[in-house]
Amino acid sequence: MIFDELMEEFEQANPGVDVTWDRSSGDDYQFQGLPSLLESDTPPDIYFEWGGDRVLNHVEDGYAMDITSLADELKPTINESAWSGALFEGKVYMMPTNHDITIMMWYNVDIFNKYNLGVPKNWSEFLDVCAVLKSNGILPIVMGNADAWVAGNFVGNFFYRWAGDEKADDILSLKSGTSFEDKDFIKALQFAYELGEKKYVNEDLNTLGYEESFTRMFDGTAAMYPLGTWYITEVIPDLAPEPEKVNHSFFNLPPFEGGKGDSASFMGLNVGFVVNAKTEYKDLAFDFLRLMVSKKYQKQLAALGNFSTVKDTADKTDPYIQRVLSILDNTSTVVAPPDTGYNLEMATALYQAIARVLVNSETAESALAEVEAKIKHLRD
Amino acid sequence: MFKKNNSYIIFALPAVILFFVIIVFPTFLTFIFSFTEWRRFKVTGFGTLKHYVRMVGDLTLGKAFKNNFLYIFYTIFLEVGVGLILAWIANRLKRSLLYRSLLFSPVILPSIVVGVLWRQIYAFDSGLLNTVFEFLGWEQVGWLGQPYTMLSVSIVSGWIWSGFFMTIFYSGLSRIPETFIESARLDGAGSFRIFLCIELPLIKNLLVLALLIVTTGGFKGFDLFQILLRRDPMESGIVLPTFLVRTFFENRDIGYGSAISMVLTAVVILIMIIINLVNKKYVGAVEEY
Repeated sequence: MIFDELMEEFEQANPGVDVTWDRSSGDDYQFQGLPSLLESDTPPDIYFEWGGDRVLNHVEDGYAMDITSLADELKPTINESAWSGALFEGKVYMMPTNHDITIMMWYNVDIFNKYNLGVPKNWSEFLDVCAVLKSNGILPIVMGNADAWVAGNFVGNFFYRWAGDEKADDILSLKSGTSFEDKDFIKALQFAYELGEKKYVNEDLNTLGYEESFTRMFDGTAAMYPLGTWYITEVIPDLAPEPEKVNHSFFNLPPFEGGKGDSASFMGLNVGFVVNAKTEYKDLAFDFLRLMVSKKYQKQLAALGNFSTVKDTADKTDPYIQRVLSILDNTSTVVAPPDTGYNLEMATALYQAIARVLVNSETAESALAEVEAKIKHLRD
Repeated sequence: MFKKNNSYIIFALPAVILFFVIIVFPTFLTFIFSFTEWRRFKVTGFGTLKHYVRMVGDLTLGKAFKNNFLYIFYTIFLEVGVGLILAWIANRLKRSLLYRSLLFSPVILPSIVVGVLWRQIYAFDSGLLNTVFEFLGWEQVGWLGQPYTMLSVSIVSGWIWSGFFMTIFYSGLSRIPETFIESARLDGAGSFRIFLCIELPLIKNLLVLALLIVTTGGFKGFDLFQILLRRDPMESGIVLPTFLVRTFFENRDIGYGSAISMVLTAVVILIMIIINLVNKKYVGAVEEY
């Protein structure tokens, strides 16, 4: 709706220009849709991207335009932290529009209240909460992991929290001398094994589809779901039978006692739009992005729960916004999800290992040994 | 203008050119690519055998090959075997048009519809199968997870294609002269004996054809796996086409994907040769009815 209005305004301001906005689901877009479109005879002039390794790949492939001049012009209106993942070797290649926290633990407030459960402050307390829920016939955590990334993002954060942010980053970046068979990585993955062993996660998580999985949150059979900020902007409005009656809140992943990482870190990234280096309409593309990041539209998007990169757009009176902003304010560490921040082939192997460990079909040690075997050619 | 005995060249030329353009040339290119190194869309090296060496230790490729053969094994029974039984029943019905039409109908359904439908049937806690199991007091089964993944996908494949093979076999069975069947009956043969000793041998060529279709088609199965298993994080249902798509489109590993494609092509050709040799030696020419 907001984007329809945006396109209409742009078309009115530019007579003769017809804007087409193609939408597709995240997974299709990420793996097949966008790569195919970029190679087609009718590539997009502007396209959505997740900041980080993916944008860098587009730069190297010649599909991302240097938009530093536009970024310099708009910089005063945009949060400083928004440029990470968009900036490479001093040049800007993505216009960041949103800060996404990709994993928070969403929970059913009514269920927590019913069993007198508070927000856990550390991992032990978190396990205690799970135990109480389980003993009362409630599934503590549900995940629809058929597409691999839900559990991958959730458990991916364990590596940073336990091994330390720098070490985790080195291993995920495949830095020479590092290995996934690192003892801290094994220990981090053992926390996931324990969740599966104690049946705190749904047994069918690896065959359960993303959209299907939310039914269990909305019918009260499950109490928690690890997901990003879009739980409130997309999942509840689109998938809850009665969105207005949903009483769900969130907390950040509780810290592991003894973990070396920043206990307040969160997994997140900036997302935005890239101008195709092959576009014939550079000026129009820049104008379109100018309009897109204007306060007029970003305020409307922020009102829906998006965390706009544009300054002074968030409604700070909204309690939900206040809580997310407090998470953002209380940490200086933002860690990237493995599947968007790092090599995708490595992330796929790691997410498969996480999937197997969560259902206890493999131990943490052997799962990580398999990751190492699968990515051996990337190190060669 | 042309010598009479050379005119066949003119008629064959369009087909030969087409064959070269859409089969031989891309295969040749893939063969060349399998010796190249790529960084996404750019060739960075040539003359390497490393992709073929890498295949030897590739765990996922091993799983994909194993699953593919398992899929073919299951579908031989679930598509060809069931199709044969359905055709036998159809041939014995006086009016079988409605029966045949209903059984053929899954073939015309789009894969996405079939996939979504069967995902609902196989769903763990709300699916049709597990609801029945729960009603009967049995434990729920993770149909799309290990160890049932390949069997579950093959059942869907059988549900779709058994009707197609039924149609093929029915066309053969219905052409067998009634006098053969009547003579056998007069000699005291029962229905099962007639099927085994008269009808089956007379449609042997169709059976070989079905076997070829299922075997070679089994290496092309993609859509059902993608829709039913999504990204299949456990890799319990990974098959060669899904692995190839991941290698080419996600990892952009064109050199390695090409090497796998070449090996796959060789395997399919080898299987076809074996089936044809077996056909020639043990089945031979059968008079068509």
